[in-house]
Amino acid sequence: MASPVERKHFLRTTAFAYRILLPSLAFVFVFIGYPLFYSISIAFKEYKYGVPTGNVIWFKNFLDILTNPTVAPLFYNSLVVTVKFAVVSVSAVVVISLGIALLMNERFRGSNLLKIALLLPYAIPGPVNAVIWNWIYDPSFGVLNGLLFRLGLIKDYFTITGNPNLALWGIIFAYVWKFVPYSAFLFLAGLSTIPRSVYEAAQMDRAGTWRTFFKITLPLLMPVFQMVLVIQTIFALLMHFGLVFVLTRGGPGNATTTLAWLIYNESFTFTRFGRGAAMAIFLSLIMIIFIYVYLVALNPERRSVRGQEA
Amino acid sequence: MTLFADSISGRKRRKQIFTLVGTLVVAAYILAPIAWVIVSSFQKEVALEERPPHFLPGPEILTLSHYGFIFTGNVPKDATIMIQAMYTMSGTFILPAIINSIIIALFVTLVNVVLGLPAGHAFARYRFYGNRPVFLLLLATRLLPAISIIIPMYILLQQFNLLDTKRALVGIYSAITLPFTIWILKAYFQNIPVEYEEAARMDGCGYFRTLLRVVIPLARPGIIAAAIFAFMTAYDEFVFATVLTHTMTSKTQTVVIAALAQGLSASRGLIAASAVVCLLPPVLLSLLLRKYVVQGLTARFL
Repeated sequence: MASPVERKHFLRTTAFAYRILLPSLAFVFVFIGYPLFYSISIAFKEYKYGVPTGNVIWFKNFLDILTNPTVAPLFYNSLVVTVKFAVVSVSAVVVISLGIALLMNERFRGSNLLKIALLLPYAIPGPVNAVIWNWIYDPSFGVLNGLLFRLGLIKDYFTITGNPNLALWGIIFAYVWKFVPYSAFLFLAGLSTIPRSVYEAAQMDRAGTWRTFFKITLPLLMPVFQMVLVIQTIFALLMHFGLVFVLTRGGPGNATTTLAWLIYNESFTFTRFGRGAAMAIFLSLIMIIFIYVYLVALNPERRSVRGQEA
Repeated sequence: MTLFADSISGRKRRKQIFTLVGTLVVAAYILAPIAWVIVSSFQKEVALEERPPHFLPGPEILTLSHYGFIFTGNVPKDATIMIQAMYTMSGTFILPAIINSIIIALFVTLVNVVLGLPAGHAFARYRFYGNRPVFLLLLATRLLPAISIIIPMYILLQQFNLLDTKRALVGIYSAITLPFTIWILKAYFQNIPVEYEEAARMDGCGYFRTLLRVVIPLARPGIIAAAIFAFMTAYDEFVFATVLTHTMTSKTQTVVIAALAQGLSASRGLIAASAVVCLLPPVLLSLLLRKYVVQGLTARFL
């Protein structure tokens, strides 16, 4: 295969390809790669009032986060909040969007209008979404309170974002609303690849709706299902910041202090950059673990193939 | 036999009703929050501070004054001093902030198309050393939370005197969106037969000529999808923008509206109207080009 001529051609192509890729790679390196390396060096330093003291303290920031009695509880609490947020919102997004996708897959009159409507939450910027829900949840004049009051379900107006037991749920509901359409489109695209004949055969065998769903649709949809789970988990860990910022600012108390908010607060409210950077590295690690677990747990096929190879 | 037919048509009918009810529920779920913010944005401030709220406002409480303030800076004359005071300064920043956001998003889109197009093409068409690992490495940057590089970014931009500039945001957003753009375009190019390009090369077209004359026309839908994606991501970004901007030279709409909603004294109608104005550009864009948006959403994965 590797005759000298082919080899030379391969090397020439490589040189040419990298000349084309260079600007893109440079952008990504300058604005993502280098800062990432730099954040490790920040995490090893001591900062006071946003200025490095010059002391290199190596892993003290990391140890503080895990053991220091003033920081560690905050960190563990933020982990619990983050996981709770991610698990609930991802499950809700998956269930609701799958339902909507199944509905749209029926291709009735008006299903196209539904598709257009679904584009709206997707297109609305995150902070605007937060502002919309902030107004809906408003404890004094919000429409949610008004509606529940009118229906006689509540006796008095109440606060959602100011109640430690409800605040996270308020954020989750607003988050789910925005991210359902994205998954619904993915599920719909997945459903459209399942041939109609499969369903016709199931109907011949007089399989019920539920049986058809669990025995045919879901297994055939598994690759898409898995992908949606991974994407939604990434999104849940990345994209809730605007909602927390506008709706609760991590409160009341620390009820909605997710890891992302804690990092922001440590770094830019208390200007403890070293500690913030160390927390950010933890967040990146959590991200990697999450995705790895999903890919292994949800892909028995790939696992068994690998098992056979070994 | 008749029993059999009955049960089939009965099931069909039940299914139809189920579909209809389901559609109405989903439509209400999706549209109600948007409808409510639009309805609120046209109501007088006094009407917004009543319990219960006006679900279907009559003409006597409708007003355009919130939008008037955003576009002209004039506070409603018929309102009390107390209410006039609620039209805070930051309301007048909404329009400049949206313009900032659009300028930044347009530059990001330009960078994405100019750099991402040849890059996606190279990944799709050439066999070269490191093709797959470099591509995967690029994609992996997508997994990185913005918050985890915000601190070094802040410190670096401070050193280079680039805090509070649009340029810095354009650079960061381009770096965030480029991997995705390359991904979308690579997937798109792989679905176009290579023969067209080979024919052009055979006819003596150079690399750039082939790209301009053959590749770009063929890949137009993919390019549009990628461009919309880049635009919307840049327009939508909040974490970097809130930390790295301080004044109206670079503040984006996400930063200004978040700040406006947090001000305790701001007019509720003004906040609602601002939300509507801010969401218009991306919503109109995605409705006009919805075919490409949906294509871009799903093409990357399927």
